[in-house]
Amino acid sequence: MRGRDAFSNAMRTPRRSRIGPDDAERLLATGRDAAYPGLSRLLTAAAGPPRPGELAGLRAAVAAFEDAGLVTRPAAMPRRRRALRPLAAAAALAAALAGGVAVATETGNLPGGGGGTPAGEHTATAPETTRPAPGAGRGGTPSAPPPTADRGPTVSPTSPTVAGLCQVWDTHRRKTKEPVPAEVMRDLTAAAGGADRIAAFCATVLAGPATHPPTPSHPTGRPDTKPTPSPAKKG
Amino acid sequence: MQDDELALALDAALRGDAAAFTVLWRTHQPPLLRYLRVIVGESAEDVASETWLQAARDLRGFTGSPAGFRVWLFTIARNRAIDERRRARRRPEEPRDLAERDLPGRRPDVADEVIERSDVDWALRVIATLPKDQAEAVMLRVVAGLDVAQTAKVLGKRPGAVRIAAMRGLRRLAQHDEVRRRRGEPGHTEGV
Repeated sequence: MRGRDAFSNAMRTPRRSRIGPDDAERLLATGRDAAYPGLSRLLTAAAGPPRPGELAGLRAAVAAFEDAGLVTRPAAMPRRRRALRPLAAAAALAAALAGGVAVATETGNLPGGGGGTPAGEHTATAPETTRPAPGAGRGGTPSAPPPTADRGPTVSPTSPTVAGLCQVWDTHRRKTKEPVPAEVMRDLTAAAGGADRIAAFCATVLAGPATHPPTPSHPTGRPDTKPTPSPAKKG
Repeated sequence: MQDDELALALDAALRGDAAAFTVLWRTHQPPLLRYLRVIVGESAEDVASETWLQAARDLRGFTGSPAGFRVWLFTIARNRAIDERRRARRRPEEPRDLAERDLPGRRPDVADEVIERSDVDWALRVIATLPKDQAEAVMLRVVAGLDVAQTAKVLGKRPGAVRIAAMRGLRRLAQHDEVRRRRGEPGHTEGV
């Protein structure tokens, strides 16, 4: 009988295939539900414990964190530099504009994207040198690129951060003709001592520790490239 | 790691403590990488590096809870991933790469299954076969550990839309051949 076959076929269809809101929430929140063993297995695996390969890259991130501490900690700013702050803000704005406000503007057209930098949600990013919000064209936009010397950390070429920056730069250059992100360019320009020197600088850095011994106890003959912890550092 | 421990680490990191930052990194890097692997494939490591560079730089201005930090971090990652996908799309010299990126998981090679080293790789590959919005919703909920509201923030969507995307994703996953085949048996070797 036709009707009967259809009915029994329907019964044979696994009920678990139709997940309702409650089941879905349970699966999403806990990763498992006895009624859905295959799915539980999948979700549990996806959220499984970290594997060693997933914990590479720590050094570069920490170095970036430490470098950031040298330049963005507001407490470290001596009072007399206050006068420079508008300039720094303008410089940051110029850099961002030159770079196409990489993330901010482009992601502004995402559905419901309330602005690009997630910092806007919770934070004010770094004081004074905050990247401008999308469309923040107010204030004088300097037409000339800012002097690079007094922005960004001066870091050693052996710094893992620099290696990371060079890697990003190199990847961009090789994979695409697109401009390197403005932030990366800014830091690299500062580290290399000029935009035109980045290529040579990164070539050296990416060549590895053969040319620059990683042990800081052996001076490489470039003592001036060590980070200067003093807040009075200025170009 | 519990959120109260993370709160301590976050506080210390905000004060410039590199060891505390390390804790944040160790806790978040694995889920970050997995999320990125699903949405940008092989570029996941690069995008994760860029994400942490930006996070390290901007962290001083962050205020909020560990949950807020997760939302903040994954939002950075997502924006970086969008940039990466845009760059990938503009790479005329790598059309094959582009095709793979736009259709992650659409590689029905059995070989892929064979060389998979772990259940994690398998799971990520299967999840990556979902439509992008569903894959993101599932990954952010299950792997990043975000709730509906937090996921909605990262994705810039309404919570209702996130709920639906995640539920549809789960339904689709439940129908997936490989998921139906592997009902919870540990340490798979089948399919080889």
